[in-house]
Amino acid sequence: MKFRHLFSQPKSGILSDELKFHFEQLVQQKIEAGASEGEARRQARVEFGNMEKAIDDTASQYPGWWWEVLRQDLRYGLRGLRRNLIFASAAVITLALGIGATTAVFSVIDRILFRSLPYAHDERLVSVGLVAPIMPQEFMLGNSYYVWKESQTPFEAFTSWSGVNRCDLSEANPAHLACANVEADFLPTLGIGLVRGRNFLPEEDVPNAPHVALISYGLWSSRFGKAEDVLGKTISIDGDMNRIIGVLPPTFELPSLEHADIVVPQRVDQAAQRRPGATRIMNAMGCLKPGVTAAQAAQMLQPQFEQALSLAPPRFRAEVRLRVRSLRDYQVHDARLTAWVLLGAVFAVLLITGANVSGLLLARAAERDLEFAIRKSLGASRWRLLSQMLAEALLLSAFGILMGWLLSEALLRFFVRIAPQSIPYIDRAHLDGRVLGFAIVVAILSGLAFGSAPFWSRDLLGKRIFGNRAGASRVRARQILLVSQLSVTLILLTAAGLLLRTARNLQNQALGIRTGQVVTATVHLNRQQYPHALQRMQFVARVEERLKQIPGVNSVAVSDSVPPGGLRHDRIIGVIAVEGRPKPEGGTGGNVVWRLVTPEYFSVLGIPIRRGSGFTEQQRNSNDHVVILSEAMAARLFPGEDPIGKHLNLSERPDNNPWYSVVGVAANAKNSGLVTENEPEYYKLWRNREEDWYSNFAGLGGGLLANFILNTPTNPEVLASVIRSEIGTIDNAVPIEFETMRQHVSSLAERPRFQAALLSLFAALAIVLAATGLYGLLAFIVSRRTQEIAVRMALGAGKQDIVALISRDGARMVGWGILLGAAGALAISRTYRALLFGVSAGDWSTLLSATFVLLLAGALAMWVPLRRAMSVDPMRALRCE
Amino acid sequence: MGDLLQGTLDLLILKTLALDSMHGWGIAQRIQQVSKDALQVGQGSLYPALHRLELSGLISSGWATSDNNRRAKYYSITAAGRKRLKSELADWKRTSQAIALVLQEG
Repeated sequence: MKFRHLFSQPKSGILSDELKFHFEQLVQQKIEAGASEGEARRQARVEFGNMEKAIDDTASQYPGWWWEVLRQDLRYGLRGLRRNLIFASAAVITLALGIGATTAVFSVIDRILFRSLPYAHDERLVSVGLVAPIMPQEFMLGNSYYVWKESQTPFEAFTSWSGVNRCDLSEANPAHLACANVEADFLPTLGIGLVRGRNFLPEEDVPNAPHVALISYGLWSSRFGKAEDVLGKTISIDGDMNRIIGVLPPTFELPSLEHADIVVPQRVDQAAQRRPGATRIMNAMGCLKPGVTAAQAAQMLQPQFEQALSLAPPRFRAEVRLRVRSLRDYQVHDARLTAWVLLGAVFAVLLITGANVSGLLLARAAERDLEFAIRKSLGASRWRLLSQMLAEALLLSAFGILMGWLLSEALLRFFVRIAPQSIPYIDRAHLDGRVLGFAIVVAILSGLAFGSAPFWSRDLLGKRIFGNRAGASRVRARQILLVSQLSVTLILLTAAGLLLRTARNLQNQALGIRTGQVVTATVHLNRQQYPHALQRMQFVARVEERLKQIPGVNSVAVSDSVPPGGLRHDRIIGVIAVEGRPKPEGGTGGNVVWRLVTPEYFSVLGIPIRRGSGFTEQQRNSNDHVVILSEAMAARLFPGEDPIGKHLNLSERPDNNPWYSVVGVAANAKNSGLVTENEPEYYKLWRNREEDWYSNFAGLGGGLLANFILNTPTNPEVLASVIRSEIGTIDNAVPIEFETMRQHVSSLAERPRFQAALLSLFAALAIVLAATGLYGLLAFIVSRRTQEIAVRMALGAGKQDIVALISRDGARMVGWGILLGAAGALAISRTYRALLFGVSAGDWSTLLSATFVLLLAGALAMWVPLRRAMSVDPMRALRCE
Repeated sequence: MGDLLQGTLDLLILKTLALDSMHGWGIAQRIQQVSKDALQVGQGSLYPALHRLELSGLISSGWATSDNNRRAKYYSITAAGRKRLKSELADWKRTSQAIALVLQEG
């Protein structure tokens, strides 16, 4: 390498020795020509010209010269940054926070809003169905589905599936799996290809066809070691032998995002469904013809919709609507607003970061104007100066990017850890290369643009030595940047405040049930091990008896579901008949929640019985049909009457169903999650009679769920192991899930907490950045006006005058920031009203607290520059001039 | 001395060094003397040219003591340099003859 020797010692050293020799010879020549030494040197210097330029020109002959210059510039830049450590760290931290936070959050949001779905017909897939107040998720009934499938016009293909149920792999290594039930043309309609094997044939999707199954890629790997000969093998699912005919791709996911290990044909009896009164619930999906929108499709489906309505029970007709929406909307429904709010916050923080870094670089540029003016007049070429400025800006960007990258990795991990399961895709979120790339490009460009600011003001270079004029326009630019920063910060603070109050309101609301010292243990008795209702009843009775014996357990209740959220039974009020009254006409009357409970239920959960009495142990062993109503339900059915002793028929067909006597009225308890309005509720006694122990929920594969609710001060973890061993002595193969009531309630508030946490993070970030920006600008103004302050002091201005002089600037900016920010906050908070609970979007106290926090941060930021202004020593400052 | 074409300066340097090894100052002086002060080579173009020639292997350099006892960097022509000088000279002669012919024609 020819140029190696150039770097082995400092380049300019060798060169300047050589040039110095040349220069000395020139001087010598002048002396020999008769000039005095001083005069000879002067003449030689004029004749010789620009030594620095000659060195650069000569060095530039070598390949790799640019690299050496770059190294030199970087070294120089590094030295400059080390000398201005506060500036450098402020800029790097700002960049890192901006890049890190925005990249991490965007990586999460991108999965929700923008990622492409793993279906070939991604953009054309829609979910189709009916919605009613009591069925907010679109659904179809078997009797109309097949008519629609044949007569529809907007779709290339129309298919259905019937959800996921628990299923058991009943072989040598039994396992609890999830099985999805789909129509034969489900996979091709969505555009899902298989990695091995083939899709279902139409003749495999009929009742009594031989069982076939597709297995997930995960199951293929874990259970079959990706063996090629898996096709044709059989697996035993819930006791039936299923032939494996294909393997799903690793990217496979159901439209509902539920997990599925096995996909089987839903094997619907079409002939039976076509008969009136068939009520199988199906989920329908369509692949739109090219050029047809979801709204047009809904229009084109009107005739089919009318037909479906005519089949529905009359009371449904007024409330049912048709819905056609994109698969993406179907998947993320209520996460969408969250995602947009977070996206807004991301842009706000990015804006603030940009403003801050720009402000910092402009301040640095103003400081260096003088340095560059002097160096230019000493003969440095403009391009050399520019490259030095850019080197410094690039160094800042590089450090900022590196730290930002690390920060975004850490933040993303943190988000995934604290995020609730209900945020779609969160577990699969990973750092998005494109987003990081974008943030990096923004960082570099802003660094280049503002880092080279002194270069572009070259016409001012000469004047800079004497005047401060160039600074004025930059101060104005920074003031505008800062006001926008402060106002965006206020908007973020307000949003964070509103969401924090929402999370607190949700968790602190009166639930009407006891949450302390309550533990639930849920068991699932499946169809294989407990095929008979009596076996199930006996198992639950034995467990209940044993749990009651555990020392420290005050009481034990059994129910088929647990409030305030999660699984529960629903019924429309319209079908409930009251003895001695005509059957209600028209309208569904809304929804009512119901549960099967044992007598202890009310005391364990602390739900008081307001009228009448609770259930008794005698009733439990009798054939009585008794019911307890919630106050809301009682008020609904018996306004102004005493419901005790009244008789109700709780089902569609009064002739087949017994009449239930109302024995009591219980206080209302939260029963529809934390956010949604409470619904009326009734409780049926869970009796020791065979008829009460059939499968109690759809999707259990014919099994039964039972919850043991314990009231005990014992440590829940200790209790869990005791319960496990107690149940284990009866049957150690039954899966048990533990949860304290506190955990249950807390898990329902996870999503609002997550939103509040993210937005608080952003708001904190914003306020730190804005305060740093304010501090930086004021410090800059003070250092610029030192002489003015000194003159004023010398002329007799007191400290308070100086404080007023300087703080006026800061106060004006904060004032404008608050004014604009408050207006913005009020306007913007409307858009995320739906995320709030127990606090209104225009809540004044939240806005005021946010303003107060901003003022406090502003005052802190102004404190140091003000002190510096007050401590100006007039004598010293003036002597500098 | 911005008037000289770059190739011409290279040729002058090679020609000068073909006689004897010399430092930069000496080369400039020599060109000035021989051309009877018509050609003045400034340091601003001389040293970039010297380093360029050295880099392409046509001349080599080494530090030695000068006549007045100062350390100076001496340049000497290499075998490759002599070969280049020969071909450049031939080129130069051909070109200048051609130019002369064209000019006389007018």
